[in-house]
Amino acid sequence: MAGGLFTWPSDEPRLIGSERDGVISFPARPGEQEHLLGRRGTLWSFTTQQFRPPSPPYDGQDTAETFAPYALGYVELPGELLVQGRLTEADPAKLAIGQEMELTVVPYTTRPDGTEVLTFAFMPVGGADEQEQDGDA
Amino acid sequence: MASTGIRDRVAIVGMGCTAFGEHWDKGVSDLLIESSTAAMTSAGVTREDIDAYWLGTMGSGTSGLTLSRALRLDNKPVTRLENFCATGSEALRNACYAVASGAYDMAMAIGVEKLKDSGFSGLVPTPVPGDGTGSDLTAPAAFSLLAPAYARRYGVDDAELKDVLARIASKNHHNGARNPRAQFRKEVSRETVCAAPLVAGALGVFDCSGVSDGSAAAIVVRAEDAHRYTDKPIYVKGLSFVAGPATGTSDPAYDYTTFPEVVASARDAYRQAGVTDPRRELALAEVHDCFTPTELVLMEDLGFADRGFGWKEVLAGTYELGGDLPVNPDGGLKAFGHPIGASGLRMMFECWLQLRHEAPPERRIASVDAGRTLALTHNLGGRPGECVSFVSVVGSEPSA
Repeated sequence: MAGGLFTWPSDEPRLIGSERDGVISFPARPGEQEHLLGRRGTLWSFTTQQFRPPSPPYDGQDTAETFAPYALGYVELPGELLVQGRLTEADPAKLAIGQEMELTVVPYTTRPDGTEVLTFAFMPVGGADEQEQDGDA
Repeated sequence: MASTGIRDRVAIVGMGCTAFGEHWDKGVSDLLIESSTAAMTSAGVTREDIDAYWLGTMGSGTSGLTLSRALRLDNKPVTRLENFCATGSEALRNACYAVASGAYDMAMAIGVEKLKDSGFSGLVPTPVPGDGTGSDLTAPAAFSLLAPAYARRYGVDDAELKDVLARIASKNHHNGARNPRAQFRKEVSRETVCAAPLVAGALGVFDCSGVSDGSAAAIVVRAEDAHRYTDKPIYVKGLSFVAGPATGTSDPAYDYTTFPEVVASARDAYRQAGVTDPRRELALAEVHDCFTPTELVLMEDLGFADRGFGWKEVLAGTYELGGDLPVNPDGGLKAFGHPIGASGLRMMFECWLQLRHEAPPERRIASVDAGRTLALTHNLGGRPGECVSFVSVVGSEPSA
């Protein structure tokens, strides 16, 4: 997990992208103008990951036995770009293409030295309280 | 500028293919020796007769030494190449063009992969430095996006689509059960497919191809020399390979119901081969069924069904062993298994058997007996939105 992907700490975290000649990139490209991306977008497509992905690149500290399935998807940020990321809602029955999503920050893993690592994720707009609890679990 | 092709200028005169599966007792060299020896035996030639080699492997060896060491080749040209899951087909394409150019009289295309030794049941990606903007979905997650996209675009409800996908898996297992070289040799019911644990999205274990070890090989000569080696050569009619612009995963206009790369390579291969109605002209097709929704989408991209009607053709049994156009009569990636570098040549091996009337009786297809002489292989590498695609058309008769 790279640093510098989102503004933190923040009550309203934003993804840190970059812009040059009207072209927006995420993650930010070196040497370009910083561009904070919008916090809301629509769910463009999604799927679920039911088994622990090969490692590397996956670097969670869980094992095949303790791995918890998660959802991931593409969120289209209007006028900006598509961002791939985790979704806080892991039940596909509660997700739908086109629904409104908002950026949040969730725990990702704990390093062997005790460092807590956070990552960005998208949560459905509406049911925010419940979604945040899912993300912390 | 034109992709004019090499229709009927070269022919395959020998092929070999190992069993695919868990070869804990064999190394890469053993598999290469087994498939190449079988290919040379079927053509009645030896290593000394072969002028050049193209070895396809995604990650089971580097450089031509992987093959020259195994076969103890005496300073022959050996090219090792990789093009994702289309690696085996790419080896064949290069060998065919080398012979067609006149540079060599005889070339071997050979593919190999040993995947089981990694200890991980799936593909282990090779780390390539990048800027972090690439998609990092696992392969099943990436291909799972096809299913809801297709269902939504064509108004198929989720349960019905699951049944369509289960029929594809069940068909390929049915065919694999009739193939002694296949990794999975049991029939699997649609109920079992649907009840399997989920892997990604709506895809369960039985929606995914087999991860396996294996090797396959082909010997290519100029068409006019072919009858020196066999009475039943397989003529190369068209070979098309494209690499897409890889913009799909960041393009909101891409909707995951087609592979534009497949459409482009099919159009090119059909034009080279003079095929205008693939659904009725082909005797069989071996396609890249890495996951069940892939095979569904390919039926439309390859012109075997009208847009939005592939799922109905699947339900009608069009692509089954006894159907109008049998697809993956050898079990496909699903049941035969998918040792990456070998898969494209494994597909060609089935065309070789079927068009020469050498397939075992239990999976012989009626279309060949009915007089159809053409077969297609399709190999895909990458994932929806960013992939490479290969299409070949071969036939048992030279053009008039």
